Amino acid sequence: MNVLIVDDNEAAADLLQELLSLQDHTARCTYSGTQALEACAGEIFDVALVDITLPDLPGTEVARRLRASARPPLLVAVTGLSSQDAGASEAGLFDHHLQKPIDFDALDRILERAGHRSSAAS
Amino acid sequence: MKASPGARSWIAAGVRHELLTRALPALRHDMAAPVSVMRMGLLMLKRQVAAPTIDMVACEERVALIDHQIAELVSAVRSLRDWELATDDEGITRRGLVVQCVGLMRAAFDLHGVRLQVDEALTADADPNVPKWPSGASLRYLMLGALGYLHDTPPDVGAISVAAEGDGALVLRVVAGAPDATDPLAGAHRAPRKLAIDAIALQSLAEDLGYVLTIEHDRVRLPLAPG
Repeated sequence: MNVLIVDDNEAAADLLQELLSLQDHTARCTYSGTQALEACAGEIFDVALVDITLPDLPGTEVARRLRASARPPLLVAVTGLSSQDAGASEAGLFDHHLQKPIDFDALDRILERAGHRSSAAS
Repeated sequence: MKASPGARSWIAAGVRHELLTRALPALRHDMAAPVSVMRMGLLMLKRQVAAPTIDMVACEERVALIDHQIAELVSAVRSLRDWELATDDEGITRRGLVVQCVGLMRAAFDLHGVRLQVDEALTADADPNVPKWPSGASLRYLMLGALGYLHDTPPDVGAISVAAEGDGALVLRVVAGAPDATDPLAGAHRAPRKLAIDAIALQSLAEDLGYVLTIEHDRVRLPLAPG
């Protein structure tokens, strides 16, 4: 899997990248919405893990633009927001939702599903 | 039927509960973030110490990272006392009040397509000589209440502006407009809340805390001293 991590908490993003790399995934860190959009302009990702609270753009806006791209990644919201707000954020924008701190078993299941999706698409 | 003082206090307590409920996701986020980093850091550290050759420098870096995150978590846990009315607090500067409350609500408002615009003069470099206003917890609830009222009540809220008035007050105003026009889903996100902060709720809160707010349809004036 080629995974895009979008999180302004650099330590968290970098560690998640290391953990995903240990599981034989390729992961790229971006620390803002703008960086994430730039990364997606030049590279295709299977999965994007998007923190909802970013300094420059709302995570929902990042997701909306990625969703409109030619080959959108599987979009996963990562947030500590309330279930009400998380529900709103999922209204057609995200494929999955993960609460912080991330449940790694749930993330593994999502990545597994993304793998099936990528296999079916190719 | 006219509400007795007791009933009014119960209304105010309910409003404070609702406001704290709205702030909790952001407060929880501040605590979840270091826990998340600590957990991932420990996982990596376990792998490093189990490796045939231990890289001491890398291990020390992990330990330092975890140590730093513990300090962040402790700070976040301590900050929960900011919301206890009964606790003697050190007061809060106007800048501190605005930065904290806007920071707590910005993400949730963004999701609802409502932007928060803060006058730059309010959040410019902190002057150590500016006064702290007493009853920081009360002011936090009132600021969140004013933001909640303007978010929930008037129709067509595009943004809410926060500006200083004189040396001892804040004015919050609705900037009319459709919720963020660039996001077609934003309006849908701003579903009516079961417990909207209306003028009566905000007034009850202010009276219970001893402040005289000026509440208009699309504007709230918040004095920083009790009235």
